[in-house]
Amino acid sequence: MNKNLTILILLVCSFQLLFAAEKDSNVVISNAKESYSFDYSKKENAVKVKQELTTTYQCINYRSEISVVEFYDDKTSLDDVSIYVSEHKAKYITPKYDYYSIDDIFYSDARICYFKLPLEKKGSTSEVTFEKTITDPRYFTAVYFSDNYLVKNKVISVTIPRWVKIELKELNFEGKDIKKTVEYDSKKDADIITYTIKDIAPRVSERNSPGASYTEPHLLVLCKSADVSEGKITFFNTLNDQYAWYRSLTKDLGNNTAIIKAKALEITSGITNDLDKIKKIFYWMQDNIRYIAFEDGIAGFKPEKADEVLRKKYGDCKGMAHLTKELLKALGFDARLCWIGTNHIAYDYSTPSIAVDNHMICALLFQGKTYFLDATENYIGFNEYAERIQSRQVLIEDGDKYIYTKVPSTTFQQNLDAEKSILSISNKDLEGNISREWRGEEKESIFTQLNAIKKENSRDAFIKYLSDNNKDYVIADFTTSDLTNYDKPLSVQYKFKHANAVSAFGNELYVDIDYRKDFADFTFDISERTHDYWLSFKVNTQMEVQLNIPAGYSITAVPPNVSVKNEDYEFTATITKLPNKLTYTKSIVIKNPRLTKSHFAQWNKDIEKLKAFYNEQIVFTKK
Amino acid sequence: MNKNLFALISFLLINLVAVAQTKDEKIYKERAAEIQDEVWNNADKAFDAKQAPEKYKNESAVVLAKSVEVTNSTKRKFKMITIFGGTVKQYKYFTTLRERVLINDKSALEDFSTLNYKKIADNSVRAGALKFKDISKTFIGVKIFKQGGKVINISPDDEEVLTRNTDKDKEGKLAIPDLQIGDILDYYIRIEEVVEVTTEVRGPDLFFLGGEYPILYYNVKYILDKKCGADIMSMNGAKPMSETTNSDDDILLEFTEKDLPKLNSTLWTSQPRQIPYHVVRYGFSGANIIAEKGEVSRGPFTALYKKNLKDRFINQIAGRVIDFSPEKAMEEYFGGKKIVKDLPADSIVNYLYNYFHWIQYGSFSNMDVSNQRNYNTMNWYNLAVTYSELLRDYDIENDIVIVCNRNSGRLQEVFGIGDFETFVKVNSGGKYTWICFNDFFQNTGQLAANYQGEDALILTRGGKDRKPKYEDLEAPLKLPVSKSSENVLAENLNVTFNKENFQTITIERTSKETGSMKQTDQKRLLLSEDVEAEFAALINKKKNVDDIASRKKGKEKGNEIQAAFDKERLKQKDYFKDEIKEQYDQEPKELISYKIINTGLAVQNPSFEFTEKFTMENFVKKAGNNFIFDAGKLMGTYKKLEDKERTRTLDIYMPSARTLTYSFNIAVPEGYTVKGVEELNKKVTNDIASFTSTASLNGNSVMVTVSRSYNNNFEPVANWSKLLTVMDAAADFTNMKLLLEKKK
Repeated sequence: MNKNLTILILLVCSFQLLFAAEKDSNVVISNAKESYSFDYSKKENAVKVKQELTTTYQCINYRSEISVVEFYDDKTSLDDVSIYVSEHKAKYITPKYDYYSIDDIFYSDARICYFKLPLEKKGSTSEVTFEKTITDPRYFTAVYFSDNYLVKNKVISVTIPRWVKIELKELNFEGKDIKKTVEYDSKKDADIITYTIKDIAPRVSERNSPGASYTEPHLLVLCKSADVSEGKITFFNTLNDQYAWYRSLTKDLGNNTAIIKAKALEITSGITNDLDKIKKIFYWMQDNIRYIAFEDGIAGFKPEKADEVLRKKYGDCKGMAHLTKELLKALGFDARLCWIGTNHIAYDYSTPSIAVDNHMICALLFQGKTYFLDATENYIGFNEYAERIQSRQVLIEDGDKYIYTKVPSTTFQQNLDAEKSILSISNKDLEGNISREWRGEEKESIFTQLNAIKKENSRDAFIKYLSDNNKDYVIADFTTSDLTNYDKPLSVQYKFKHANAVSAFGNELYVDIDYRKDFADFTFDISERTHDYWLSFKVNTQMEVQLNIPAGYSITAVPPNVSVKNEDYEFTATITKLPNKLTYTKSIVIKNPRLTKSHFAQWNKDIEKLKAFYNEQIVFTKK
Repeated sequence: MNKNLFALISFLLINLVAVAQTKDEKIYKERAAEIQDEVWNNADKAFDAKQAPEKYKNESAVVLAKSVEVTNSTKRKFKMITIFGGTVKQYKYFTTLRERVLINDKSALEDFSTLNYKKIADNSVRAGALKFKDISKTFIGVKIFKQGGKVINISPDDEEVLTRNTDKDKEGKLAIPDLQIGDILDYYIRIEEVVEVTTEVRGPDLFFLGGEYPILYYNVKYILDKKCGADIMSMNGAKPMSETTNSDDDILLEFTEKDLPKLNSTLWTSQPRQIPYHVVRYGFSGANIIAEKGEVSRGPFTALYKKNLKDRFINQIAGRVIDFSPEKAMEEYFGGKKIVKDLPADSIVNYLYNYFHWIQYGSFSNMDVSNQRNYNTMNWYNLAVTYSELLRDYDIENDIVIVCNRNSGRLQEVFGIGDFETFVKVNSGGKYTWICFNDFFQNTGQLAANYQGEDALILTRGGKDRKPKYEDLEAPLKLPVSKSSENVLAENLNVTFNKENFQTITIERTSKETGSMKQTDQKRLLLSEDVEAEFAALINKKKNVDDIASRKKGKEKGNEIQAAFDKERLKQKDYFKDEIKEQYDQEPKELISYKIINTGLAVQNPSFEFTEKFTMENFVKKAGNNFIFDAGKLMGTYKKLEDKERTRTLDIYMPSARTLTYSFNIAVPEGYTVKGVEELNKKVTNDIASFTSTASLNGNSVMVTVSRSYNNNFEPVANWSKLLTVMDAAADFTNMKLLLEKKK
């Protein structure tokens, strides 16, 4: 199901993966022309989408050579490539054609045509034209206007014969110089919709950005149906059509139910409680089925047989959802396949298209409640949900119909990171006992990191993480909760010594109370950052320190408390003086993980308050 | 009619191709089945192992058994190479890697769960109707042994996906099914190559005795055709490979090791000198190896390759391929041939050295202006002999020095000619002796740190004609090691506290680097435009961009290169920021200014100096009305070694003897007094290293000087504890603080 994700990645950012363009490039696209038209093949009774994409590159300051890459796949043929350098046909340039490897996808049908294109001198141009054919209009999903280079002028025309029913949704046009005209061509009996675009900024690749469908101007193409000589061909006229297509791919998968049932019984052997059985199946899936993504043609949408996934012990999201469903079904539970678009995609099912979803999970209808199980999240607990699917619309299979609902949105409280400590001052060190607990996606994040590290190093790595890789933090008597149980919170306890945390000058002791200083460096360079910043998940960081006041000393100064509260996040840091001790409590809560650019300035100011607190010490003075 | 005929031919051709494909696939499958039988029925009992010793229970994975087997053969094949036909040689090379691995965690499961391989690569060439084979086929076999005793035999054909799939080029990917933690994965990769006509050197194949995981059993075997020869070498304590023959008189080379611990990365090591290994190279007649047909030659081959190198130099001289054009440039520079003849040797030595830096640094005509070229190396073989001959033309006595880099094997352990590096030793008695060509940032006369303390072979050329005779110095010369005072990093920092906010400090930092302490910063901070311009200026040549612009129709291109330089110059600020970030483990809040004071390229002014002014946060913490200043952090990040790094068994290869000094001038803000100055005085010293810091209050300034010194570039492991005491003192210093106390 990540097929769609693959397409999206290819459309949007794959150039950067292989051939990163510089932000202040010496090269611009002086002109580009893209035309899309529809053909009907009576012989195949198929509608095809013809594309002609012409791009003229120009170098501004000095001659250069750029990498040109065009993608195609099983549903898109690359019919012709023509290359002109300084207006002369460049027969000496031989395009190469290859499999395209994408991180995290083991195999896909994505292919690339690529070559180096010279720009012979300052001001010169080189032009490339690709002709492509999409053999199934369902796969014609989007037309993006931007590129890796500044686009000075671009014309996109879509010729829509009146026998084709199609909708173009204009997205992210705000503030862009885009003009639209519609003409009727009586010869072709077609409407020609033309977009004329000027000065579209190059795409910028930034960490934790929203997906391109949120940021880049583009057309979401909804191919609905075609009235052709052989009758009507329906693509995705409604969501019912889209579901019907998905259903056709999933309803007769030919599972060997006996094998699956035997496995389900083996996994749950000795368990009598239904909820425990469900959890056991889910955690078994997480532990025993590796996520390996295959996106090969129609197989990008069709789950593998559940018994095959079981045999192989690996699968993509479709296969993992399918096996989860079948194992649960074998035990008599009502489990279903679900289609869902993660938060990487801006669309929802109000616009039926294969661009809407990119993921499959399993739904469990149990005791009047719907649970969603996504075993590709390797360490998340049952009834915990990853940010990427929270609040997202989901289609749950229901025979020939579907259930249309949303994955629940959990609050920040799901993702707890809580530390409690009791500390004392010993010479220049802080010493004491610490306990720390993680839940939800915080727990998943820690487990993911621990399991990516070789076993013999994982304890050291865990300790390094806890000590922030500072050699002055010494951790001893380190114990953890069961590292194979994802159903329970992950917790650790240890003895702690923070060497040199205390500075002694004359009659005074100065103490650095917070060794972690969470988020201290988490500010944005407003002049550099282009996109919003999306945290991977909501944050709920809690810290509570009890510090015993050394005998003969009294507290003479503490940092002023911090309290920042708004609808998106809350930071508080408080020191309370008590007899013979003080307590320090810190709470960092981020309720909305989507930090918008318009709020960066305020965010930076708020982080500064936190930072000022971190940079102030507690002072004890000898009585 | 013709159309029908064409259609028939097309039909036949299509079907022929289809038949051929089917036939090829059938051949492949049959061969795969044969290999499967051969490998799985291998009698080596080590591959029956089912468990690892208790001591390895916490390891991510344990290699229970590993083997590599290489065989080769040759025969003549009839071909119509003339109208009467004839024969060509066909060579076959089969390589089999087999590994049996106990998977103990998810990390190892991830590592071993997929395989990528070139299934078929057919690079055969056709000459008319003849075809000369060059085909490689890869066969995979996988078995999984489950904990309960179940064995799963994987069929790669059923499980693989092909990412390339043409007749001549097939690439496969295999995700191994049903592999879980606790399983034993037993797999093999067999590569079968068939090559006609050409013979070639195979290898060198390097086998370190250890790897990422512990290995319980490791067997490597070469079964080489009697018409083939092999060169082998075993080093760093590896027992020599056994050498026998079989009933066909084939050469059998083999080693077996048991219970090899995994290799860990360790600070300051030279792995090729410290980890046991075997190396093998082989080939049929005509291949460029030492051994003759049917023979095995055991290395090292230092003397032989020295002779080869010497012969190469002789041939270059005899073949008149020495480029004497620098002489013309030098004569122009100094004002004529006669004047040059009368110059002191040092002037000639220096000019020619600068000339070669300039010419080798290269032109910008390809528009590549990035400073990545700072990391290029020079062709030391050609430069050594050329430079030597040029000096001789001016009667300047010199030798060619043959040496091995400290980060490769020792001089006495040479296996291939590429292990040698060469440079020139000038015997004029002048200032400049060592003329090294290992990178662009050595000064005239500077012996590169990589060569210091190494044994070197000396070639002394006799006569002046074009048939030179090189005399060898039999006993290697021990190259000198520079003193720590010759490799110095000296930093001066003026620190002020921002009046509006004491918690932001401004640092004016000047860094002066000499000897081996400067190349890293020169490479990352200097722009290629500036490097080339200075090299050109040193020999009075036009800058490359000016030279291009002055050519006919070159003006336009020159302007474009300059535009590319201008764009590249904008990146220099980031290079400085990166350097600051690396030094202090945090980015500057603001880099106010930066400047290269001296490039250090000219021998007359050899130190690399730069200055920068920037603001930093996180050095100062508020404490009531007072402030605590992390003064020790001004020395930069210096982390204490972890417990497991504090014990070591390997000798210590440091980059060079060196001294690092820091001088801080900290302006105490008005209205504050300072406490803690005394505590900044520290001294830890021993016979191999020292750390000293002194501090004093001078009016409103705290003056701190810090010096850290390592006396040698190499220490035996027995001295590790002495080094640790100094390293710990330096790490402790970075925790030192000053209190700025508000005056009452």
